[in-house]
Amino acid sequence: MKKNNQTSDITAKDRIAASLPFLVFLVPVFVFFAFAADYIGFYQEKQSLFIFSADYFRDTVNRPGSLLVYIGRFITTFFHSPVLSGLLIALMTGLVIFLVSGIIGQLTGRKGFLVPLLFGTVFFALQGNYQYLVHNNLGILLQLACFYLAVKYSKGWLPVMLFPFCYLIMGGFAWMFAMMYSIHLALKSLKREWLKIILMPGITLLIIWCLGEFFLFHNFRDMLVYPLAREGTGSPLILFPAMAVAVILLPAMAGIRIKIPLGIKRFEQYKSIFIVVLAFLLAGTTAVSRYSKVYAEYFTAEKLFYQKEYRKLNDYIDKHPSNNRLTIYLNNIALCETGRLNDKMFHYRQSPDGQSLFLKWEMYGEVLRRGAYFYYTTGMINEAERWAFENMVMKGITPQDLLMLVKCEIINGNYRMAAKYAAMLSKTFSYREEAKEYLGLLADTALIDSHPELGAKRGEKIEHDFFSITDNPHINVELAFSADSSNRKLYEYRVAYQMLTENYEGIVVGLPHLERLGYTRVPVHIQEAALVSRMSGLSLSGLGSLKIEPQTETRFNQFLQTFNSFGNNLKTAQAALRQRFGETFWYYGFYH
Amino acid sequence: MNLAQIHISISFFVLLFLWSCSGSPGKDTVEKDEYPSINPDYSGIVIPFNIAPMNFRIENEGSVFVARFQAENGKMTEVQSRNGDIAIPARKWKDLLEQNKGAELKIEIFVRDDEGWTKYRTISNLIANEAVDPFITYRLLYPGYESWKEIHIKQRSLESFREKSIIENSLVEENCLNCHSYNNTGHTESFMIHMRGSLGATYFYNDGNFIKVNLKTNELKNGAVYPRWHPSGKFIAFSSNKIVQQFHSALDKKVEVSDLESSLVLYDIEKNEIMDLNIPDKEKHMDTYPEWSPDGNFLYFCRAAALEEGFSYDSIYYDLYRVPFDQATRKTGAPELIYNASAMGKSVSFPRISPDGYNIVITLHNYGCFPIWHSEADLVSIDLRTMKASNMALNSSATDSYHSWSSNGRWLAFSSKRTDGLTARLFFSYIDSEGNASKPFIMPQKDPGFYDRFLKSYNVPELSTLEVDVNPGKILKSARGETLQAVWTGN
Repeated sequence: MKKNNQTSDITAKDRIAASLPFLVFLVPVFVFFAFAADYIGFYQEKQSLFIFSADYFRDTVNRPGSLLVYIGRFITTFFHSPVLSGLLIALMTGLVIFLVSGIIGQLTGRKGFLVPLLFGTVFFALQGNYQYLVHNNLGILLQLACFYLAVKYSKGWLPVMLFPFCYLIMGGFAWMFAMMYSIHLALKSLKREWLKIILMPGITLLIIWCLGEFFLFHNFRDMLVYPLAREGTGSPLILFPAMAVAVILLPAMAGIRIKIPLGIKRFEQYKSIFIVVLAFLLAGTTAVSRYSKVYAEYFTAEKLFYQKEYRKLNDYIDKHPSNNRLTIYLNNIALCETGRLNDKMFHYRQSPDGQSLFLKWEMYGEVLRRGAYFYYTTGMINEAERWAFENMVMKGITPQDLLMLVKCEIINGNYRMAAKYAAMLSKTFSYREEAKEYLGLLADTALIDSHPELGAKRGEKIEHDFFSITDNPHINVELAFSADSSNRKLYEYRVAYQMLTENYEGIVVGLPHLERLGYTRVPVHIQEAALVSRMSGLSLSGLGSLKIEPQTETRFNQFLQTFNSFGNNLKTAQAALRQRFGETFWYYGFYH
Repeated sequence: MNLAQIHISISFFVLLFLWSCSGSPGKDTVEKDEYPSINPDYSGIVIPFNIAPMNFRIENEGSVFVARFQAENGKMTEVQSRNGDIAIPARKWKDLLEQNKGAELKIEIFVRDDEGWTKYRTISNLIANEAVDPFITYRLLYPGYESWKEIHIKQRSLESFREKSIIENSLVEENCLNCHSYNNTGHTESFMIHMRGSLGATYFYNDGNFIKVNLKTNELKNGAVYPRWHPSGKFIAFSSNKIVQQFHSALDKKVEVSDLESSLVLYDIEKNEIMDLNIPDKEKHMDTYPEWSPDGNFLYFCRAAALEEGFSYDSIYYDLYRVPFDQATRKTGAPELIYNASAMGKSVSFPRISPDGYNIVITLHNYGCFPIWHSEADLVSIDLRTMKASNMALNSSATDSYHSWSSNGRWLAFSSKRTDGLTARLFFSYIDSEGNASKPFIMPQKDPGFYDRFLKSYNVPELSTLEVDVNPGKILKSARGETLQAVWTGN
């Protein structure tokens, strides 16, 4: 009895020792996705909205391989929580390591450490690209699982017979398994297994042809590879093909034994420590190499924007200055929503063509996804709805589009459509609370006007109709403001654009609006622009009872003096002006 | 008793218990003098005897729901439900309707709540003697603005819930698919379709094959757009339009589609010739939406004054005209004003003549020629014998637009946005011998909650008597094949 206990103790210890390198590897993976690079999960979760409904299943699962995409989206929906995203990715990475280790064990009868860790590392590195969608790694993972099950449990013809079903579920990824298993059979005995090697892809190709010709009608090539595509992988030119090749060659690689030189063999007793250190180093270096400060900052800003934490967003950009046009665009909206656009916009690098204020219409790419927010903020609700709807048509349903559509329909009073959209939101993992709120408003529409966001937006909604011009959005601002000059946000954007384009006459002509719109002080940048206008001989009488603040006058004089002290030389004065006046309209006017 | 037997016995008693819990309406049923709330609204309507089961959802509060369908002949059919969804057995429904042509169909609704069973007022519908054409073809797409991704042209059997794709744009490089038109309004399976994009052309389907034709010639200033097949099957009249699309910033209608130019052209299918229809005064007008009289001797169309500089989009008004057409010479005669909409500050579009040639139904709206975003758009019927126009009883406060006659002239299918104001749905209305329309009903779906979730629009419905034997893969081969260039010819 005692002996048995000792044996089980040893086994448990061995197991822990064997698992330790993997655990050491997986903890950084979890920390990376859950905390350091949580932007990856955030981005992916916003790419599509998983709806728990039969309709969504039917719409998504409509061809071989689409079930994989469906499951990928299902997993991604939990990425709304960074901790869950870290856990799920770490779990998938762990499974890859376990399966590779298991496969090596099955094929060679010995434990492998290095190869499973290397697979885990590449898997981690691939997932470290924010555009690399989960279904890709899921595809790889399932090939390994199929192969593991095939070599462990099923002998004979079963894997060959089941392969067409694998293809139906995993689409183009299944070919990895076919090649893996063919190599495995060939290594066993090409002479005996050649028929299986031919029939496995042969029958499946025939099935694909039949499906394409008589049922699904997609062309043969698409059927063959879907859902394998550059789109959705972040286009990793080397890493993804390398991973695919490694998976395919795994049966051959498993048999390779590296002869350790005698000199190193003396350190055998330190092997466990070495592997643990190696695991940590692999995970650590991968994490460092995949982390992108630029993306982390951009997506953090976007997250704060979606959470409507406008002041926090401005503070964040203050601490993490950005030249990214989309970041500045969102930051400007946040400034406008908090009434500070013309007080702070030149604290950030603005685009002279106005593209940091509003985005030009673009059917493809990232612009379409974000363009609605400017229109929503300024009360051009129809246009905001159009951008969100067009994005939904082009890229499928995303959480932010659906939220925007619900809000726009409520503001516009189209309650039946709003209810339809809200019902869809209510069938999601992460947006049920929002759905509940909107459905509550729709059940008692009298509450809408007192809703802090929707009520306010309804009040700001433009009523005058004109044809929207999305190639030159500033014209929309002009047209909307000319008919609804009581909309303060429109005024803020209008002046902001006038400042960006240095339209001094326009700025001065618009000054009387300040008092009319209830401003009790002139926003700082407008003061700055007004002083330049005055210097150009334009009258500031439009300010009425409002005044240019003395400190602004003083700073303007200081600005001019500094410039004079460098002999009015723009180039030599730049460093000094940037240091003292980099956040002013004057500096922008000189150096944009 | 073995384990399996015990299992079966328990299951039986559980089912028996559940049945006894739900039960059936008995003597203690309370009668309520109000109609039940059912969705879709299938009450007070006329239905074709060959329509698919008209499943619906009872929206009154309750835990058990019963619907009893009965008519003069045949057995009563009862459907029970725990969630309010009434799924009518197809075979029983078919028998009931076929045995009761011209008779009344009564639907009794019972709802059980905590206080017991309630019976609502009996719904009474009329089963028409005339069948609706068994198939309808439509385009399914998002009711979007200018972008598209998925566009499907589907054909649905109205006698069942079977729907099949004829063309899917995902198979043809996601090109945009435009108006489809049947030869002889669905009596043959020939049809045509426009495709825009990398594989752009007009595709004619006949005898199991597509022919890809480029109708655009140097002489044709604008592309061929809205088609109408001549009853002889030899010609297709097209409008050739220069179209602009703009987006309203504040109004409900969101999108404004207008023509800047338009004229009518004729395509001779056998000779592969395209020609100007040379309608008198065409230089001073914009002519669009051709429609043939059933005998093929008249061409109806919508006409507005040509645009002048500084025009306003909301002051373009189209009237309905017709010209005689000589099939031998392919020539037209002098235009005749049929309906003067502009005099009322209105505009017409989509003229469609009944198969007997007595009535023409148009879409009437405030201005322009693209009514699908106009909530005021209604269908108006003009008796061509008396030239008397009447607003049809089937209209709603939302857009009621694109319509199609059944081959027997007793049913009108049309698209309407009345369910949610945004997505177009297909409705059917019985048209009696006097031209009066009955209360319309929405195309039945197997799942009565389908329309509450479905985000796409049903667009350009066309009824047909034949099922098109074509699958979506077929067009791909033609799209990649050679293009036949139409030849411009004088007329």
